[in-house]
Amino acid sequence: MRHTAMVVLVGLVAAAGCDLFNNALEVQSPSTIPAGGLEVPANAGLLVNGAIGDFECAAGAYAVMSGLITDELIDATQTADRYPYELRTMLSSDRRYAVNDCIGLGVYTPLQTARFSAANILSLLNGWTVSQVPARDSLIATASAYEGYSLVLLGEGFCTMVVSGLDANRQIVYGGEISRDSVFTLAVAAFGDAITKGQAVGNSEIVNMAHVGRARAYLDLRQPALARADAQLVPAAYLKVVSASGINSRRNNRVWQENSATSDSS
Amino acid sequence: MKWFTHRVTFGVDRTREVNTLYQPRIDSLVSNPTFGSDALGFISIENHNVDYTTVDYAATAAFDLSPTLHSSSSAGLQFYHTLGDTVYADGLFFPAPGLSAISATTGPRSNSNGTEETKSIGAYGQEQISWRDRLFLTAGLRSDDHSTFGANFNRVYYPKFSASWIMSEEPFWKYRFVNQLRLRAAYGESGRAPPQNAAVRSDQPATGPNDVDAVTPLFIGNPDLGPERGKEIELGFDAGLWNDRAGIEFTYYRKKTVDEILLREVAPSIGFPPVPPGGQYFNAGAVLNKGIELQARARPYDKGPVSVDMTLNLATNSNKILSLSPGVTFVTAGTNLQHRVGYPVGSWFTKKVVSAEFDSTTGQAINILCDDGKGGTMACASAPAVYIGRTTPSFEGGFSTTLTLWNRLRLYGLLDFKSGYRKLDGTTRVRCTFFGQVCRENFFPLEFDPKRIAGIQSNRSLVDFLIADAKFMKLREVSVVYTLPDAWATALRASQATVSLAGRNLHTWTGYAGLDPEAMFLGGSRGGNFSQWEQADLPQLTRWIVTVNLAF
Repeated sequence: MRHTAMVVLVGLVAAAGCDLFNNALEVQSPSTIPAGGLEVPANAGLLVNGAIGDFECAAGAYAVMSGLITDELIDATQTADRYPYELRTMLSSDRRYAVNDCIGLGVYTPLQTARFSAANILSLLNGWTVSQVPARDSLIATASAYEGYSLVLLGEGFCTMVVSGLDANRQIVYGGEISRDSVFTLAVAAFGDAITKGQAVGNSEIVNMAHVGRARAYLDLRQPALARADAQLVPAAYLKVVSASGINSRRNNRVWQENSATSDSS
Repeated sequence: MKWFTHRVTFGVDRTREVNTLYQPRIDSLVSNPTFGSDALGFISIENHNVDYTTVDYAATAAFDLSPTLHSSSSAGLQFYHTLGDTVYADGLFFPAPGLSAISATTGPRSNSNGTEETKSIGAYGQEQISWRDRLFLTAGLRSDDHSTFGANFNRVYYPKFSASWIMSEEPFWKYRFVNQLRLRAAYGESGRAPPQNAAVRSDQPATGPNDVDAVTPLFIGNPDLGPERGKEIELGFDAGLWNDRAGIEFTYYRKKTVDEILLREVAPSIGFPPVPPGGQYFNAGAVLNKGIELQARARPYDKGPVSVDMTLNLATNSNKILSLSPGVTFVTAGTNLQHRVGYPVGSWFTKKVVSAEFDSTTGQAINILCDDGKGGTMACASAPAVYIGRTTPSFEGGFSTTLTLWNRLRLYGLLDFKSGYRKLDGTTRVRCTFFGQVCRENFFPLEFDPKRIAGIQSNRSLVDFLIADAKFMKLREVSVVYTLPDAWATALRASQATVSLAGRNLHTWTGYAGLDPEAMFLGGSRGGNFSQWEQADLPQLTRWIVTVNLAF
């Protein structure tokens, strides 16, 4: 009997060393999406929508905070950490300036999120084939255009910045500090990709959007002739609107939300 | 089979928590700009449910190896499952007084839901040999696997060894006033699993352009993330004196934690949220903790119907980061917080004003010099962030006394204290440097220390004056418990009846200038594990509790 008992004990200990229980460790995570399961060709459209959504949310926050700085807006809330924006005394260490998300009216981080989301799906799309993603080229054009706009706003809003991303093995690669002219040059390249792919698939909406963006980047680079050339290619009636809605706080129109709590947030 | 025993424990602990924040509509205040839209009312409801499931099996085979040697072999398995669920909803603006449902609000509404689930499985084996029931030697090995381990990490093993010797049982023991003395020594390794989803790069659902489905980056993850491993040595003794009228328990510990799990901000340039709920957990190189724990108890008076018992607890902690990642000397852990090699985990680091003078005409602080980090001073604009202090206490303890009369009336008092740490006084921060700058210092600066005024006038670039020593002592409890006469209990069909009155958090002695040294943000970017950041947060309130206890 003692031998039997010892065999049971040894067996229990040995069980810890094998993979017998691995399946028992699977857990549900209904509110987050592991990137490994998300970044597949079938989700290409979803990921591009994410990049657009990130830009639209960032643009809303950027409009509010740049409006406060330039006196285009007067803050109607009682939130203390917005005072430095109206007083123009904000520091680079102020969290709203540095690390807040777009709902929290961050400035730098939301634009970087928008830039990263666009760059990330672009790197994935460039690794997938048309047979895997039939709308691949149109999606590349769209993501490139939004990446370009993120870069333009980053270049216009900050003296220097960093471009980081994921390498082919999906590992983080941090970039070095670059000047705003370098950022605008990256934007010009992104808009160029958008125009090329957009023209190839006949997506005039994206082509117009990219021409306007590239013209703005050329102006920022002090190249008015190139800016004029791009701008002249855009129909005079062309209008592109950053969408907003009242469906949830992330989609709210920030200007209305922050300055009139009882008004329509869309 | 008395020599072979089994123990199986299975249980489910369930907690249910509902938090409601309700502001009714108050028509008389609607037109008052002071109250803004708050006068229109709002309500938020959060339901938080957590289920803990535990399965614990242990088997022990015990038998004598010889007349003086006894063996006890044990093995066991444990399975732990935690499932938490949170549902939150809120709504703004009631159209009429008296309404209180979210569905009755006419303004913006929001809702959220989150589920957190973790599982772990562990197994162990242990052998204990005892000699004459006075010398005990134990060796064991434990293995754990956890659902939160990174993809590049598998199960982990923890050994342990211990020895204890009841010295007072030996024939040579002559000190009769020491009725028991046990010496003990132990070495053990233990671990802590990463938080849920900390290892996996992940996105979260979002609403995209024109309200279509989309996703947005949430957590950068860390596939190399594994458990932290603590290697601890404990040395100590337990002594009973004068037939246990007094006793001392003393332990010295030295714990070196390798791969300690810390949270760091990530650079915004990577696109993921840099701070909670984002940020990145990582395994730091090594952290050393050491200190002592002492408990002394005594019954100095015990005569007739009166007895007095006293207990003193003291604990010290020295904490230092030995290393971080290769080539890294510090990482940012939050606003004015760093994990830095050579300093305690999560220390305060900021520019430190060393000297300043006044312009007596304008009241402006001038000639402001800061610590240059090398023992000298320099202009503050280019000065480095230097160590200001710990965020966790280095010394804490408590002292309690119980007076018992006629075995029926018991008076109890407890004092406790903490020291050796600093807290950021956020209330002074917003009063003096935001919100129109309404401190007395803003209007009469010459009445104050010019170094403090230098900080207040610095546009928040010099904040060391806010990070204050937070040591305190509290009269934590005074209580009286009376055991009612047996006849009263019998009349109530109870075997015993007691009534008690207890006062908690009755007085605080502290030099901390903020609201309370124990008040702090509990969540968000200011809260967390060690962010001792207090800003108009509710402290522990003074409470008076009356209890009637019936035993059947």
